[in-house]
Parts: sequence; C-alpha cells; structure tokens
Amino acid sequence: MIQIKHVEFSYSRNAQLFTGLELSLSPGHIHGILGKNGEGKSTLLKMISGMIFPQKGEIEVLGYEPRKRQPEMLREIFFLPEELPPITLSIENYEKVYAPFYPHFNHEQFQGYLQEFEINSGKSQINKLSYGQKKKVFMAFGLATNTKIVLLDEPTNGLDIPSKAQFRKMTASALEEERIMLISTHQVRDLDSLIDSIIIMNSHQIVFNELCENITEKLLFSYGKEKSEGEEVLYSEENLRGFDQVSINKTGEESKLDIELLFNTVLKNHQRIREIFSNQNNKRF
Amino acid sequence: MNQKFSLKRIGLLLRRYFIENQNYELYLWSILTIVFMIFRNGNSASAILIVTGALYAVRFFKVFNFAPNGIQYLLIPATQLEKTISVFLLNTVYFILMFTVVFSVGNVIGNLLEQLIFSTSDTVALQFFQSSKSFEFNIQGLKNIWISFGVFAAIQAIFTLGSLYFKRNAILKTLLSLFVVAVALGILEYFIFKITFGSVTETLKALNAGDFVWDENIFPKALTETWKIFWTISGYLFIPFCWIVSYFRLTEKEI
Repeated sequence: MIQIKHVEFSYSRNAQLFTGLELSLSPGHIHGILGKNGEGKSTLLKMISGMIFPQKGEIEVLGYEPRKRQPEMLREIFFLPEELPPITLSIENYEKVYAPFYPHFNHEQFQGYLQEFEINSGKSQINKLSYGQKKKVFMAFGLATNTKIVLLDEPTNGLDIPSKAQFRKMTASALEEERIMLISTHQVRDLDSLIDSIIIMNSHQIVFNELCENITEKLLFSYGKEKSEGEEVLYSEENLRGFDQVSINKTGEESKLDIELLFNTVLKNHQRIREIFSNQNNKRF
Repeated sequence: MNQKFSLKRIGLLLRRYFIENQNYELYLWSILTIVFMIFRNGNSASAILIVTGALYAVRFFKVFNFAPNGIQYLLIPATQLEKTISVFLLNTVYFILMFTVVFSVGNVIGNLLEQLIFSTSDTVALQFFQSSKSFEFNIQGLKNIWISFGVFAAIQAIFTLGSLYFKRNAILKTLLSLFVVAVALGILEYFIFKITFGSVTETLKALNAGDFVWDENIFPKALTETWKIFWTISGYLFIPFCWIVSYFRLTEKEI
C-alpha cells in the first residue's frame, strides 16, 4: 500500500513542484502515471522509493517511511529509473551481486524473462549491450526480485516495437495480488491494454485517478465520420478517418479505452471529468 | 534478520564491491607492487600511502556524481550504517592491509632482483612507516606505526567525507576546503596570539612549533599539559567524527 498525504515538494525556493499532493495506491494493480514532461512523475517515483524527501506531508510505503530507507522496505521495492546506471558486470555477476539482497528473488524467473526478451548470454557485459537490451536486463531482474512494489520510469523508452509488446506481456504476467506496479510514462500508447488503473498529473497535481473498468463505465470512447455535438461530448479529436471522441456513457454501452484520448479529455475538461467521477461510490481522489 | 544491523548485509556489500571492482583492484595492487619493487624506502611508501589512500577513499561515494548510480546504491537493501561501515572497512582496514602486503611483496621481489642483477647484498626493508632501516619492534616503533596509521585513517576519513559533500572533483575540492580551514584557523590563531600575548612571532617561537615544548616563562605548565591532552583527545575523536558526519550525510542524501 502506498499513501501520500498533503505532500509539498520543491527543487528550488522559487518553483514549487507539489503542493498538497494526495495519492493512494492499492496492491493488485498496474497503475500508470501519465503526464506531460516536467509534471513531476519521476519525482513522485523517487519520493516513493525514498530517493528524495518531501518538505511537508507524509508518505507511507508498505507501512514504512521511505526517507528512512530501511532494508525491510528497500528489499520490497524495485525502481527502474529512466536513465540506467553504467554496469561493468556481466549479467551473471550482476545477479550474483544484487540478487542476495532480495529474499524473494527467483533465478528461474530471471532466466525466463531474459529468454523472453531474447537476451541469450549471461556472460554478456551489461555495459556493452544496447540501451534497449540493458533496459530489458534490468526489467527482467526487477520482475524476478518479486518485490511488492515495482516502480518503472518511462520503461518503454528505447525499446523496439516487438520489445514493447514483450514488456507488456511480461509485466502483466508478473502482477500479483500483493504487488503494486507503478509505471510512469508520457508515451501513453505503450501502456495500452497493460495498465488497469490510470493516474493523470496536470499542473503538478493528481487530477485523475481511476480504475480502467470505472472509466469505461462512465465514459464512452467512440469514432464517427461526423463530429457529434451535444452536452455529453467531452472531447473530440479529428484524424484522417474522421473523429475520435469521448462522451459521457449514459447508456452503459461498452467501449475500448483509448488512453491518449482519455488523457487529452482530462487535460481539456478536467472540471467536468471530476464531476462525473465524483458521483461514483468508489471515489479514489 | 536484524533490521538495524546485519553482518550478513555488510558481507554482501563487501562482496558486491569486490565483484564490481575486481579489475580495478587487480590493476591497483599490481601497479603498486611494481612501484615498491623500485621505491623501497619508508618515506616514499608513506607518501604513496597517503596519495593512493586519498584517491581510493574518494571513489566510494563517486556513485553520487551520476544520479542512476546513486539511486542504485541507495536502493541496495542495507542500512546507511552498514553502508558506512563497509566503506570504512574497505578504505581504511582493507586498504592498509593490502598496502602492507603489497609493500612487503614488492620489497622482497625488488630486493631479490637487485641481488640477482647487481649482486648487491642489501637487507630487505619491510616497514613502510619507518624512514630508517633500523626499525625495531618496541614501544616507540609501535607508537610511530600507530601515529602513521592515525594520519592515514584521518586522511581517509576526510576524503570520504569530501566525496559525500562534493559531487565533482572531490579531491580538489576537499584539498581546497582543507586549505580554507587551515587559513581560517591561522587567522584565528594570529588574532588570539596578538590579543593575548602581543607578539605573534615571539609566541610562535615560545611554542617551539608543535612539539609541546613550550617556553615555561610565557606559558604555565598546566596550560601546556591541558593543551597537550586537548590535542590528543581531538586527534582521536577527529576520525570517528568524520565518519559519523559521513553517516549522517549519507542518511540525508537525496538524488
């Protein structure tokens, strides 16, 4: 469980990043944090992992205060930053060095993930691999640690198209009831059909935090040759085929969630979205 | 498993260091062995010890120069105390032990080669803390070793702390900071002498450098004794003080 209450944070005195930030994340879900560049997505992940400390407010991760960086908390967190550390070890030695720190690390799982990612030799020097391959090694290791919290910052950056699909498949298969996966990205399409909870940041605030099933229950994602008008239409976007739109789901019709459309809708129509979702019982923000 | 302190985790941290730095360690000690085959006197060894020791010490927290390295280090599931202790063990205890071994091996090999090539019959000098070859295993000899070790340990502690404070060019910035502190203390000393005794030159002369052989006409014996005790205690406390500050600095480190 991750609880963030009234958090304030700034990198400098003049530029406040977070003011009164609130967020609650429950296990058993793959949460996707979406936001424009500079919204504070990476900062949020760093705060959760205890790499930076809030100036005010409270953060609780699995019952621990991240700033204390206690081993019992750290062994349950795997954080993959966007920029990777230069590792001069072979994959085999990397496992030998870091795996003993994680009590639930599973060697077979790690080998399985490496195979899935088509990284063959354990003797390969991590530093000599391409950026994408390096990322795959770290991701495979992270998932094999079986930590309760997995934080991935822009994990699909640098991955080729087949690897993105492999990443989605592996991440989805690694989800367990007690595990929280938090993925930050600005490439929203990469998380399509992977995440089951969407968090949207705008103006350094969490403006949207919903489970995907609630989203499609409340919103209708449709395509039309003509642009629909009406009060229920929340957002419309023209493309070569016609119009993609998001409207209020009044009929309970099922539609496929389009994360990019949702993201744009929330940014354009934030107040109305808030009203729509504040009516439901399982309100999450 | 103890959550506050675990020897197993310290062991894992040390193992991590040796696996990650096996090439560096191999090159460093091989080069030093060759160096000691050539320079086989205590004076050069002491100078090499101080310089290489400082260089060795600043490497440990270099990880914070590059954020992803720092993140990886801070995320290792071990307490900051365990991380500090592992760094202390490596750059003070392990370094001095390896240095002694390498100095001795280098000396023996160098001496043998010299005997073989130049047919000399010099004895092997196996003590790098002593500049004289007539070192004897007695109280004074051990005291000298203890003092030399203290100087080395203090330098290691200062440079470790420096590497935690300064992101880049830690050696240069640490040296600069030491210089600034020395100048500040010098100015303070100047004014204290000037105000208390009137003449700085005369006072320094009476102090007879740092040997605590102070002129009893100017300084009462009790003051000399107190000063001596103060410096001895400060000397002993300085090293743990630096390490404690390093520990807190590591605890508060943000990336």
